[in-house]
Amino acid sequence: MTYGTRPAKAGEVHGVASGTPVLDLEEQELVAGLRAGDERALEALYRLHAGRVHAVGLRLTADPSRAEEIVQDVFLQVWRRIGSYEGRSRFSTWLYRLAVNRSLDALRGDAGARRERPETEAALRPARTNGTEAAMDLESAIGSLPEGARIVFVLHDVEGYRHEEIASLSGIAPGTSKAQLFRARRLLRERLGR
Amino acid sequence: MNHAEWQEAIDAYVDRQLDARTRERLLLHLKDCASCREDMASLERIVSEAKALPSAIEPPSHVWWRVADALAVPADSESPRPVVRSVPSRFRFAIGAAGLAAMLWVAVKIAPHGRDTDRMTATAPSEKQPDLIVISNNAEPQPSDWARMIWTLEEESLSAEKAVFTGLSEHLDAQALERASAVEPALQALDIAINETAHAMRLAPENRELVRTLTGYYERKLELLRIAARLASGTWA
Repeated sequence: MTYGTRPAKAGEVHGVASGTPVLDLEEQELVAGLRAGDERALEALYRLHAGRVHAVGLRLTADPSRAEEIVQDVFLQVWRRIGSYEGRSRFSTWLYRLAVNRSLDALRGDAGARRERPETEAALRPARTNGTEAAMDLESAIGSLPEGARIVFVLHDVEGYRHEEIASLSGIAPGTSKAQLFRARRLLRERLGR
Repeated sequence: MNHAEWQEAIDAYVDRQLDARTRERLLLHLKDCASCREDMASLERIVSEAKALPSAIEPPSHVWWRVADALAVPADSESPRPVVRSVPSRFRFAIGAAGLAAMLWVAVKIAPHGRDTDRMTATAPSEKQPDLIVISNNAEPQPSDWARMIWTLEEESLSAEKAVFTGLSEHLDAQALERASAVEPALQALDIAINETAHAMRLAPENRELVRTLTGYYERKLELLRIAARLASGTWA
């Protein structure tokens, strides 16, 4: 197993950015191991991809506890439903799509329990309260965005999804996705003090 | 176009979605409009920074063994979802004499590797010392060797944590847990440091300094776990 790879973002050739490519063959062997019920294969895949799954969950939900649950759920889903992976796309593509779907499901679940917090206190907090306080960093500013804007910004500008894909994933119109992205970028600009 | 329409055009330009004619008009407009120039520069910077964010943020180490624990639960059982520990402190469950013993055993086991990576030597495989680290005195350790070493360190650390979490909870009382929880913030900080260093190693697996740093963090974590066990058992001087 090659150690030291950065998982590829949507539309990016896997491993190119890090210069240490993962051999497809190895990933195929690990997937075959999963199908055979080998827990070591799951652990190896976890070590390769958990960081990316966690990053997706963390940025989409802006909730560290929820992001950990998402990692846990996604890899259990991989273990239990590897049979539904038909091998038509890269395993990592399939896995990250699971992560996005699980994150969006978690947010939808939250919506039933609590109202969306589009303009919560945190979301409305200005980036600078006085001249000496440093501006928010980008991660914090993304986390402070209203949910709809945050989802679209993370999927489009961080993960590299197209508006049509975002629309399909999150059940909104492509035009709504564009509008949310516009909103997100302006809010970020304001909160980053730029 | 009014200002709002120019702003939409700027977004489309940043995303390379603008048609050629509108693009030309926008570029002409930018020559005369400082506000729109500023808007575009700012958006381009935000989009560029967003694309450059780390694609991976390693989860805390306990997430894996939550997964591993849950693997033992049949998928069609009544509670397929793994139990997520929602306790405020990792020490709420179990710290006691057995935990201390486990910590000391792990610490002794880890010490020869952790203090000086240059002293790592070929190790005969056995049940307690798996043949994961095979580094010769005469050969320069290779990135893959370090990767295996870090993997081993992490597994030992996970084992140590797990021993603390799950061992002999019946011997605990609330005061013991409270005492042990004193080291929780430091452990959380170390977990973050370990995750960040591990991520850096993935980008630069050949970097020996990162190996030493990561090894040092694991040593400190084990030391903190020992302190936690001593705090819990009341033997801390």
